[in-house]
Amino acid sequence: MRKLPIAVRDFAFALLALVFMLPIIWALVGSFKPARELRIHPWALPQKLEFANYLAAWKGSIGLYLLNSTVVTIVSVLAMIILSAPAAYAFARLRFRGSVVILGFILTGLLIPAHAVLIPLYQINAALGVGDYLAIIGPYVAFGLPLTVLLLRAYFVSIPEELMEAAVIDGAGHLRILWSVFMPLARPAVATVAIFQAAWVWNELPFALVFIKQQVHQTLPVGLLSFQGEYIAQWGTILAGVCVAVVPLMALYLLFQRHIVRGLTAGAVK
Amino acid sequence: MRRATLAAYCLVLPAALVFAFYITYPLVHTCVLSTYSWTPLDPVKRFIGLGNYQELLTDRHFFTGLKNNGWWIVLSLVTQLPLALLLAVGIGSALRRHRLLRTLFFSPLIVPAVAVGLIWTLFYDPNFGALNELLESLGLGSLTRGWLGDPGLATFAIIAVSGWRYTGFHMMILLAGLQAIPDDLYEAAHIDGATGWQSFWRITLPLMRRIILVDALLITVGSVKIFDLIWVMTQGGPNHASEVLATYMYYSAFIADRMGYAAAIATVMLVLTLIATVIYLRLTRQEEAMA
Repeated sequence: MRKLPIAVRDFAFALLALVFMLPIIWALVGSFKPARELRIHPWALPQKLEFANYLAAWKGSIGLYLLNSTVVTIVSVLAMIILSAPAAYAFARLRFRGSVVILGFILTGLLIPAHAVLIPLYQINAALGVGDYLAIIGPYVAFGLPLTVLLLRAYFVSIPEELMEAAVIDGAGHLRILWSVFMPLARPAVATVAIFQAAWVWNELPFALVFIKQQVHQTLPVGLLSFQGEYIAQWGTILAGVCVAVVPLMALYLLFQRHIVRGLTAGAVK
Repeated sequence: MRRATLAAYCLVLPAALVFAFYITYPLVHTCVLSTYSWTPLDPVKRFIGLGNYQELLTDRHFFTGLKNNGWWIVLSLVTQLPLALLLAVGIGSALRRHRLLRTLFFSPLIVPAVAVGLIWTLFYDPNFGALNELLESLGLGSLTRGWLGDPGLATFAIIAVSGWRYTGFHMMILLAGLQAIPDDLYEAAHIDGATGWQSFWRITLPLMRRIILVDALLITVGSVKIFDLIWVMTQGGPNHASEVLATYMYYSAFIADRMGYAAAIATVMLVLTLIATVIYLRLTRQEEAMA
């Protein structure tokens, strides 16, 4: 490998990256093309920028799905962090009987398929008569706990002991120490975990498909799925819906990507 | 109980309870439900013992699903892992252009699975699809196919999409392992006259074995529970040809209205996940014994 000049190697990787981006670029360009043009010349650039597809997607209530997904994602991720942070703190810094067993118990969740709990949760939701939002947010939070606890714990372990001792001497309680010492220091880990979980909740399909009863409560994945049937010949409208679904997450990712590897590496080394 | 211990339990308890309520209890309940027969229309449950499992053994679609899950595991491992490793080693540096390339390779993961499925369904379209059009314009017209409509091809066409979506993610995981290797090891090897290849085989690979194993487990478990892409692109069709356990479970529960039978399929998925995890734990233990 050393023989190959670096520039040639990087060029090959850049070429591969371009091939990787092709479907995304194609979808973006296609969302501005009329359906007929898209079918006859799938690769041509649009003759003029048309926003008709976005207008049609808007009429197909893409805005509503976007709003539902935003609410569900924000509430779920906040709840995950609020529940996980105290647990991660206890696992990282306090010695207590059963800590290894309880941590192991929560971490099993990393491996469990959603389908393995789908039917009982369907029954529980029906029996409790919970609303559509709560019916999906509950399982989202529960499935988000293992990774959140794991990454936050790994980061908390790496925070110097002295900082905690100083706070204890000042008479601060655990929640106080967690909130004003650990959480601010763990910002890269919190950002990493928040973005991973937001992406997961934003994309989740099986729970949303089964648990959401009313169309007005549907999240983006389920809404987009219904686009497939409604706009069967209107490819441009489908692609416009796809682009609307991608933009918020893409923005979030680009905003926080500096933190992502840092937050992950701290977790991996410890 | 000591006050400190009590405080620790109070911090851990909320998370543990939510987890137990939404995951552990339903998990056990699924196994119990798999011994009953009932439909949502007639909610009276009839206990039939292992009847659902006996029926699975004679169910053609169940075995198609099992076989396809096998393809998903094997093909995802042999394509995504090496490619992700190549990317992590090749563009893992802090150079600005490498960071940009990494962002590009990671970006398909940001696109929701449903959106990915929709894009590729249009891309694969037999009549107007961009892929066939591209092949024709490259003079490869003989390679054009019905892709998702072809029972022998549909599964593999979707596995390819999954590779496109997840390779960048695995690159990031492996990169975390790569960055944990101290630079002086490479410098020492370089001074001793080692070539790039030798450093890769003798330093990089051995020191990354653990994280590669973790990543292999993630790929395997992910392949056992794969659902979204298939549900969007073929719904398990044509004629159940691209079915996997998760899609067949969904079909059995919510389209064929056979809840107990679906619970049995879900239990099989759970057992497969368990087997994969045990194998992985064995391998890591061997690893530690060798070190």
